[in-house]
Amino acid sequence: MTNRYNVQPRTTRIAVLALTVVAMSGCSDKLFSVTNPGRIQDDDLNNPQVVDALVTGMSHDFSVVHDNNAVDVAMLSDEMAGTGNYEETRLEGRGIARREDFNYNYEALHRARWVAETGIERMKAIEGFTYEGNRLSGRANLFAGMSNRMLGELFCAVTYDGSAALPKSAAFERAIPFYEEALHHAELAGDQALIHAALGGLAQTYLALGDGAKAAEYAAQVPTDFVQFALYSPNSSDEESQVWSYTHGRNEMSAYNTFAVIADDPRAPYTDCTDGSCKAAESADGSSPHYRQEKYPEVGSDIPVVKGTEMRLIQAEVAIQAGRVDEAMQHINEVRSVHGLDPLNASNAESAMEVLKQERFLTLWLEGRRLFDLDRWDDPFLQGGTIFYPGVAERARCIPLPETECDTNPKVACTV
Amino acid sequence: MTFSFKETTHARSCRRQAPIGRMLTAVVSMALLCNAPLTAQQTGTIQGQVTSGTTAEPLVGAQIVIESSGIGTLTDNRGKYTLAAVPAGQQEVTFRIIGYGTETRPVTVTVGATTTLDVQLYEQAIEMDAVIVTGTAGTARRREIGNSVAQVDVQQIETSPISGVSDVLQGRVAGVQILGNSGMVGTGSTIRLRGNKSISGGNSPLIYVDGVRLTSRDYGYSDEMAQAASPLADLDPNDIDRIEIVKGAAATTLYGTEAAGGVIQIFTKKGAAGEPVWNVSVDQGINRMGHVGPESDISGMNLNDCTVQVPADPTCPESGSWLRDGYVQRYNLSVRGGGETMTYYVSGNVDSEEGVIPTQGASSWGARGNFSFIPSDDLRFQFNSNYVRRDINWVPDGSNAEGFITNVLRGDRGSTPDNRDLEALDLELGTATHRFITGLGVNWTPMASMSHRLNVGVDYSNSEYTEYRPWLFYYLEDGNRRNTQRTNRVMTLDYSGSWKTSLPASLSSTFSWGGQAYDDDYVLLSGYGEGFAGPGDKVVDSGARTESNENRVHTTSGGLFLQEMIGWDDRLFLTVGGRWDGFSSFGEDFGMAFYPKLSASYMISEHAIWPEWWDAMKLRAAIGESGRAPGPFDALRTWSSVSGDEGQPAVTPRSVGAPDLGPERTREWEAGFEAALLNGRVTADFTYYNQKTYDALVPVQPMPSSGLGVFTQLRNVGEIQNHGTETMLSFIPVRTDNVNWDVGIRYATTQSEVVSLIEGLSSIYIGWRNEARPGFALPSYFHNAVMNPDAVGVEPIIENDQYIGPAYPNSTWGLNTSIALWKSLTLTALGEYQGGHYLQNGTGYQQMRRGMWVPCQGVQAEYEANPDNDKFAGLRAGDVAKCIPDYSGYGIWTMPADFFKLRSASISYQIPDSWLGERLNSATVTLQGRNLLTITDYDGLDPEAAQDGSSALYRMEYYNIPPFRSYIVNFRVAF
Repeated sequence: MTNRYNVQPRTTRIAVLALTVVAMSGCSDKLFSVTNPGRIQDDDLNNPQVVDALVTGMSHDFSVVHDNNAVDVAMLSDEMAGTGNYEETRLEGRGIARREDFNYNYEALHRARWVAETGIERMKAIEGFTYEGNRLSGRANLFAGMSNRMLGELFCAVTYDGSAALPKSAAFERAIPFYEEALHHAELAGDQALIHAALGGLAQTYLALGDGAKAAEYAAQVPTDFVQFALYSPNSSDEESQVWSYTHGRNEMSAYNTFAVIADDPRAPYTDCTDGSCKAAESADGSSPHYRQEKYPEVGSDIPVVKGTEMRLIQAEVAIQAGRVDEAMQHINEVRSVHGLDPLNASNAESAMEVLKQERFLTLWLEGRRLFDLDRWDDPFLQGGTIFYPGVAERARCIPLPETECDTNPKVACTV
Repeated sequence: MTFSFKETTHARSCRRQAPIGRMLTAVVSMALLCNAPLTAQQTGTIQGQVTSGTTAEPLVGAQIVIESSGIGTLTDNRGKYTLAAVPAGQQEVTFRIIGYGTETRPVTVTVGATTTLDVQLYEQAIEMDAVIVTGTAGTARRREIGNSVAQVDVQQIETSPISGVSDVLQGRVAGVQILGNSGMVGTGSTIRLRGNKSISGGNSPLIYVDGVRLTSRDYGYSDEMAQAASPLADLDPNDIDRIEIVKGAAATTLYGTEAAGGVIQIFTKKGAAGEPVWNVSVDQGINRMGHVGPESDISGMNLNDCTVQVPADPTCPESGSWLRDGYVQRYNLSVRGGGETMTYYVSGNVDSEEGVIPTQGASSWGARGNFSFIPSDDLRFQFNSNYVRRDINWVPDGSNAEGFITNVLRGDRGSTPDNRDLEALDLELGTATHRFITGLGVNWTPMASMSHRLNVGVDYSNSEYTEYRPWLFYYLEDGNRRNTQRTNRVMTLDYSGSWKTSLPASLSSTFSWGGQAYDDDYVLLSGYGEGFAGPGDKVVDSGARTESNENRVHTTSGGLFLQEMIGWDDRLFLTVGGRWDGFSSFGEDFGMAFYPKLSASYMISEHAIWPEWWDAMKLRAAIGESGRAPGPFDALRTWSSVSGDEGQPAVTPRSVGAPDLGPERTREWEAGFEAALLNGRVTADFTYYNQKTYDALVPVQPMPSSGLGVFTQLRNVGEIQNHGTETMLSFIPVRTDNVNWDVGIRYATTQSEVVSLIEGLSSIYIGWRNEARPGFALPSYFHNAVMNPDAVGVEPIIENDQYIGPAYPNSTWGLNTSIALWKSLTLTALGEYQGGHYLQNGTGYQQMRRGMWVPCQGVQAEYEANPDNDKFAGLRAGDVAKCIPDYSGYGIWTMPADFFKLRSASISYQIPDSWLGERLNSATVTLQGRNLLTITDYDGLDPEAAQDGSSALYRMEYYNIPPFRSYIVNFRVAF
């Protein structure tokens, strides 16, 4: 019965083996090669016509994390009470900064830095793109400077590309040349707003480095009405502001019992939701009164990053440190007049400093800056101050290097 | 006519002769090769009917073969058969159908006469000559297979309450773990075969229907409902004939990449020769929720009774309860019949099932046509097509401020205005699906020693997910609408051939070869609009602001396999094989994957010294590899187009990429035995397995300070180990003409352990406090725990980052029994225990924080009443830690979730033939119940309730509607 078919199995076997050999050879690469649309391959960015989108991407990546930082700083500092449902918000409200709760802040801020810094190198190398004097070159350097400065302001220590932990000053020092180069390109391009932003960044950074003279020198060159924003928009979920979301969307933090309520100042507007004017009278923790911030009333409300009013306060702070109280109050009152507020007086440096601290609270409210101010001033609030929850013995004065950096960077030992 | 068991023994001794001849005969009978030409003068005819010895139901498609002459046929759609041209004289006729013990009967054939031979077959869990096709190259008999294979014959559980494929498998197969997830109708179950073995690649098994691979994607998860609909639920259980399950890599090697999670193959009913036989099945019943939450909360957490809460809920229904009895109705009509060259099975169904929460429910209708065309003895075409349309209305659920039960349970502390919880149901969530599965199978047996099988098929699905907040919706005044369309097409091309030869010294060879190719094309289109101008029904572009998304993913894969099986004397079988696999998502530097396999089976009972009462005993062992592929973009460094600076085009990094990325591989060895004793009245199946997943795809986080730490980079670095046992024991304590009582016990253990990740990486966070950590099960809970729970009068000591326990059960028991009386009354019950795992009672924790968890209210009152300088007086630290928000945490609310559930019970009555009249063949009425009893110490809503259900690796309960009970009356008529 099988004899009649003896040839066929042998033939089949040979065919199968041949097919196997073919399939195991290089043909398989093409056989299983598909192209999926939607994503952009890395090499495709090396195109002069993509630079605009690349730099807008730098702005996007900075904005995406800046609102998160503003939320966390608000709760870790005395700006807002953490009254949320999330465990992190309640802990932050008590001044507790756990490493594991700030992974994203560090990762995304480093992404913003990396995108800007590597983008600058890419822009220099792109054939057909003129780097020198280009407004886009200035913007790219500005975002590199801003990201590094924020790394320094927020975190107790910083790392770069797997380095050992470095002091905050390393981030500030890294920011300076980017700001200077931003200024250089902005001046060549004649972009006034970019010039002011770069100057403002330099002022902020030198203040952080403790070089008041240089800080004041740069600050003085920025007009009081200048504002540079991190941009938000209802246009896409990526662009929505988390500050709005945490206060209007989910009631995770409240102005209840904060200085904003005491001050009743137009720079720190809020709504007392307990009168029934909001969706819920309580915060998400189910018990705290919800006092909703109104500085950012829309999901697309932009968050200032550099402001002329801050520059005046930098000048004022430097003046106080030098004992020039009258000059300081002049700068402070210039800021107040912008907001239609009556001038204030101070008889000595100490009282002027108290005024300055309150003015910085109100002027920079919910802009992600307050924690570093408290740290710089070694403010008593950090010694166990309380807004709403019982304060811990010592509140966090900065954000520790996060858990993910500790876990992945062998040069960092996060033992405490 | 009754059957003498002695004849089974005779059949076994008969099988000991001429193994190759018997194998060939089996092939012949499988391929429906029929009568050898003999002259009428020398022959006679045998005819009769094959029925179930338990229920007297006719058995359709049973094989009848006279092995000595190769004459064979199948029973028709009334269980009847005719063997024509049988050589006159004494003959041995063998009757065989999957799920039943094989019987061989002697008969004397008289020249020119017709002899009647009716046979009753009895169910038998293990039959060594049963044909199996899953995990094998071509077909194989159970005796030849070196790995464990489970079979579920759906005809045997016809009286059980089955609403979907997962119900068929639940509790019935050791090593198959099914968790129910939710009490929303339409929710997919979590299915695991031998536990979790992948951190990032998914752990669900591959599903095939009649040789066509199904999509492995859910119909879209959404945060709002916290569950996903399962494509598996599209299959009408009435259409299922049997299911084969191979659970590990040792058995799934020939499926290659993607098969590490096991393979479940579903076979649907086929036509059978004969006049058309119609079957009607009608279900009528209710879904009912019992008391929700702690017994001490008499209101059932406002769900059972919404009248007692303060302040009142003005929208509390007139009935005083948010729960309702959901009406269940299912109708199925099928017909099967055909002639010698063409048979058909055609069916249609309409189902409608209400959930226990108002507005929740699902409805579906479908049609199936399975056609067989047999143009010649050696060629068979099988064309199967199935279309299903399904609509599911969800309610917002789970971790969701808009969730319905979140708001009901939280009373006036929910997000609904003025505690008007009915408004939560204004958020409309729906999934509407179209599903079309079609396939053509060709079996060509050019000669008895050679066969070819070709399957070509497609699984096409389109699902539409809609999420609609109407204008003036309380949570978003201007309203919004999202519409997400998912279209998925999975194409299968599968060929295999085998060639059997006889070798000297009682040796035989079966050489097999083949290959498969799969093409998976997935398109997601989503539109979103918000800000409606006024009332009325809306579409996406009614919104003042709109957003859209498009996502396209196309993957291709395929491979070739070769396999050689050497048999000796039809009792020892050694199989060696390998598969070469390519996959479009492998990195460009990777190349192809190779998966080897080696297995052996030994029918030790074939030896003459083996005791007669021990019918069959097979020892087996297998080792093999299978894999799981990375995602389509994991190997590539890519950027995404996004919007920045308020609507300007921008790019942002999307994936890090790894050019050498390949599949993760699971290497498994297993060993065990299968036994049948006492004429098939006792069967046992035991397996020990040990799996090691190496080159595991681990999401490794680059250092944040490198700038890419916000992403994870999939790399082949980890190792995960699973080992366990599977025991299946079936026995029939009583079998008489009028009483048949059978009992089945299944027990499985699964010990999982993450062996390593990557140096320096101590943990991967899976979600909701579930982590993958070396030394612990995948995944396990880590969070805070109270260290001095039994101390009284002192402050609780809370430690963070404590190991709590595994998130998945590590042992399961399944117990079933059925008693058939007078072939007309059948009682069944199926119970299941799952244990060894933990579940986070997120609902309890959140309710406690709001002072609304009744079991905590006593402790909270006492704590409040205690003086400030002695807050802990008289209180256990464990109780303070659990009930006082300042100390409590999710970890403290994560607890053992062992449970026993009475999955089903039924009583079925087959109406006597004398009552049926001439037109009806049979009629049965069955009372069925599901989830009738739950025994557990877990204090949350339900030990199976889980956030994100089938779409997540983590487990966590958080305001998820718990599974309900069902009471169904089923009417089944054949005519």
